[in-house]
Amino acid sequence: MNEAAMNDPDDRAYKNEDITVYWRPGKCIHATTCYRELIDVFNPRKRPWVNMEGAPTEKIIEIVKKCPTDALTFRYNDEEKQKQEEEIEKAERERRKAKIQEQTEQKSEPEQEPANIQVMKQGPLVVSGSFAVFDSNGNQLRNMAMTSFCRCGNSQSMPFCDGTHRKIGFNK
Amino acid sequence: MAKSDKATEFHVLENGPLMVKGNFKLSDSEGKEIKHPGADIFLCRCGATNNSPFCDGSHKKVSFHG
Repeated sequence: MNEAAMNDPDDRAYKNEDITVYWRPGKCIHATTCYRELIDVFNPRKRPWVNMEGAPTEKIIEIVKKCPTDALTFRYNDEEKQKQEEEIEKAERERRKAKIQEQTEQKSEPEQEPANIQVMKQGPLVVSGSFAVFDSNGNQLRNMAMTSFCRCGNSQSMPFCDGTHRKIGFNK
Repeated sequence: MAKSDKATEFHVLENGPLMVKGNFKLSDSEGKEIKHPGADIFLCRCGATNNSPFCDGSHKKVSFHG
């Protein structure tokens, strides 16, 4: 992920001396991980909502990596360091790929984990794992690896969360 | 983790709750498991339930549309 992927006019970049954090609102599923874990940096009630001075760089990186989608990503400002990071990520990807291949060769059944449904306090239902979504006419919606369903009743993109719960002060 | 034959199903009921069928794990914001009655559950979508996160029929009273 890099600047070239910032192609939506709503996308933003936030910089400190070490890294640049990229924010792509179109990819956000409102899992709320960022501001639950690091409100001093990610505060949706403030503008700008990302404060790069709110925590040490390592902490910001840790939380950005926890974002379940590509809504939050980062890049080191130093090109050498960024290259190293990409190498690490590449090795990690290859290790995962090798593991899957190994399982396939052993003809072991791919482990299908039941879906995880997390009820976020004053927020949506965050769903991950193997699942299928059907609308009220019984039509299956496109496959997703992760999504979030509205719980406050006021989303403009039903049945999914669009962040409206915050505006209306949903408190369940 | 128990193996399931097929993926968990989420059915969006018109002007009503979210019906969840199959194997799944339900937890709160902190990851603590939430006990639920059985295989199929109904989760509130209207925001008005008094039995959160489950549906208690309040969507009818508030004329939930969605």
